[in-house]
Amino acid sequence: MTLLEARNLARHYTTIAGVVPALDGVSLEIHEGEVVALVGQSGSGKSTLLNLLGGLDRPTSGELLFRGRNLATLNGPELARYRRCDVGMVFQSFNLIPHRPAMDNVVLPMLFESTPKAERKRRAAELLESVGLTKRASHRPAELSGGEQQRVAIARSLANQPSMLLADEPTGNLDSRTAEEILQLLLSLNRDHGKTLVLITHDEHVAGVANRRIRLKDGKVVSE
Amino acid sequence: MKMPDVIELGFDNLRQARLRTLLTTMGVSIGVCALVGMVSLGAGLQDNLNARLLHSGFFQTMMVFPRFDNNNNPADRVANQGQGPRILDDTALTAIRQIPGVARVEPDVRLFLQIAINGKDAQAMAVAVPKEDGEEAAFAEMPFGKFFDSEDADEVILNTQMAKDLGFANPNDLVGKTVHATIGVTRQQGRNAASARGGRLPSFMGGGGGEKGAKREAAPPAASPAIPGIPQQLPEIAVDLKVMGLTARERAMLGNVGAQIYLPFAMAQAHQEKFFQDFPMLQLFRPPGYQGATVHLHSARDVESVEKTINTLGFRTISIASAISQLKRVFVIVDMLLAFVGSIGMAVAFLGITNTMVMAVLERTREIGVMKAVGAEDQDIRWLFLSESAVIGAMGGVIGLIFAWILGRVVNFGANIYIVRQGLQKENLFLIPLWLIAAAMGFSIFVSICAGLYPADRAARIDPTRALRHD
Ligand SMILES: Nc1ncnc2c1ncn2[C@@H]1O[C@H](COP(=O)(O)OP(=O)(O)OP(=O)(O)O)[C@@H](O)[C@H]1O
Ligand SMILES: [Mg+2]
Repeated sequence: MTLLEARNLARHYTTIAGVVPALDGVSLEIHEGEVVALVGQSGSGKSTLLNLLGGLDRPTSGELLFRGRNLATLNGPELARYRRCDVGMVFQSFNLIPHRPAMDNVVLPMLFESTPKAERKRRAAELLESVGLTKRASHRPAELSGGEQQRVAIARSLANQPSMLLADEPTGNLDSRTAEEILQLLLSLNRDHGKTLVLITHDEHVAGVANRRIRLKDGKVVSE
Repeated sequence: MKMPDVIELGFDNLRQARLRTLLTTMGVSIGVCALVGMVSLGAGLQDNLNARLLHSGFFQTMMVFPRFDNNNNPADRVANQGQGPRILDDTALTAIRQIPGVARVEPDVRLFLQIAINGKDAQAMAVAVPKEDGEEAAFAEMPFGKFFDSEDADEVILNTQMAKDLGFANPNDLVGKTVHATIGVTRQQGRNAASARGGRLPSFMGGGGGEKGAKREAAPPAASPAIPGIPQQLPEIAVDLKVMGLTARERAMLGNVGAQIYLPFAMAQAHQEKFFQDFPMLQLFRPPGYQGATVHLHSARDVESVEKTINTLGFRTISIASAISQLKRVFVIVDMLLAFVGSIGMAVAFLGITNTMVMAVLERTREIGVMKAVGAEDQDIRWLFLSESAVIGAMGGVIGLIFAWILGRVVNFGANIYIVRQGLQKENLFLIPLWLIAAAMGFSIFVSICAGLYPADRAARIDPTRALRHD
């Protein structure tokens, strides 16, 4: 079943130097439960595409359908709700809030969902346990290793039980052993919980474990 | 996002930048302190004035006089829209008593008295005081003695200066003593013309004048020849009066200016009647009715309407109500000026908050991007920053009020040292009424939220993809 469908998706950035066609007519489908690797050279438009898929940005033209619904028709709060509940995002640089403990970082998406306080705490503790960080719940990001930070970020991405995880080079800042642990964690979420996984990677090994790889070049899909 | 969570998060964020929050809050509290200090000074001054004037009965009294339409006073002509001039007699006083809002009406009874004791004497105008006026500040706060026992007792209240003139270095020694009073009329004669008793026209209104060392016995009534016209000899009646008390200050009341002696009302009135009975030819020089009357009202609010009604009855009125309303207008302007000066501090605090919040937005751009990426709406971000500035405003308001209170105490203390040294009563120059506390808090929070509007809007509009782009 098709979860996400992009039709002739384009994103042009207007800069003082002129218009940059970061994404230029991309069409693709992502099916529920699959693992898709987005590959391509630096500057090919992978992050731009992922941000559009995650509802962080709006396309210049083209359509993006989530479960058949065009995201372009959503207003600001509706798109925020999509980001909050349908997608979980994981970044290369973790993007945790530095002055808040791991627990609060995991709670954050549930704050915006107005989840009751007790429920938030309970669920955040559960998520931290599932990524093996119960002991680190009250630690701030600076007190955690890179791998631990990325685990917190993954726990956070799962807070509102999204059907899809979007990861932008999730292992890019980690040593190979830790990278493998994080990769296995993400794959287990796909395998055990049916989360659809779209991840950007430069790593051939990571790309190798995906069901499918989509290669971008100069803002266009060059191969699937 | 729920409001309590927004505020909690706002608090946490402020705690993150403690020094900056503290400094900004201090800026706000100085602004609030200045504003509250200025306004409470205005309120304190006004309250003092009001309390004094209200206590003195100034607001609730007016003087009524008969109107003389033969003069060209335009005010009289304007007032002459009701009846023509009327005699201020008992019938008229009864009519005035029936006007709604009037508490009581008393005719002016004045006698010229010479007071003598132990071979020394002094003269002054005496005013008849009804027992209701015993509550007035001038009597209630007498330093020596007490008010009259009854309205027809042979008693008198003098003032401390007169006690000294009568040779009492310690004024308290005079209280309870009996003085010899000679009731006469005002004489404009020279001081040494003691034997020349041929007086001028008697005047019941004017004060001053009189003779030193006048005779203490009453001139026998039979001694005055009953020739209509200029009296040959000045009539006098003597009476012994017990000194009940001594006033320290003059009665702050219309129409009593210059009075230094106070007599019980009924007693004074009886003596005045007797005086005219004994010397009937004086009646010829006396205009019909009373020369004036004092009208006491229940409330100062009615002054205007009662004045109007009395004017249409055909009498002239004098009240300081109009002067007071002028004064109130002045106070509004003074208050506004003080508030304006105080507001300068708040304007500076406004800029301080805006600066702090803009800095916070810049500093937390990435954090805002993260929050948006995990599902924050623009509105959530806006509320988050507004809550932070509102919290700064609330804290600044509380601290500012505490500062203002301390400042008020210190200024009061300092000013009262001076005031007491001047021999005056302690005053509360600073007054922070409840409405001012509420208004200051509200204003502080309001100004802070306004100062946070622009930064909050900037935060809400941050593009998450840009915010998250680089490390
Ligand atoms: N906000 C922006 N304004 C202007 N140009 C942009 C902006 N964001 C991205 N670009 C440009 O769009 C192109 C695609 O960028 P994008 O970040 O999607 O590349 P990428 O494939 O993720 O690269 P990398 O592998 O280095 O992360 C680049 O040429 C980049 O310079
Ligand atoms: Mg990228």
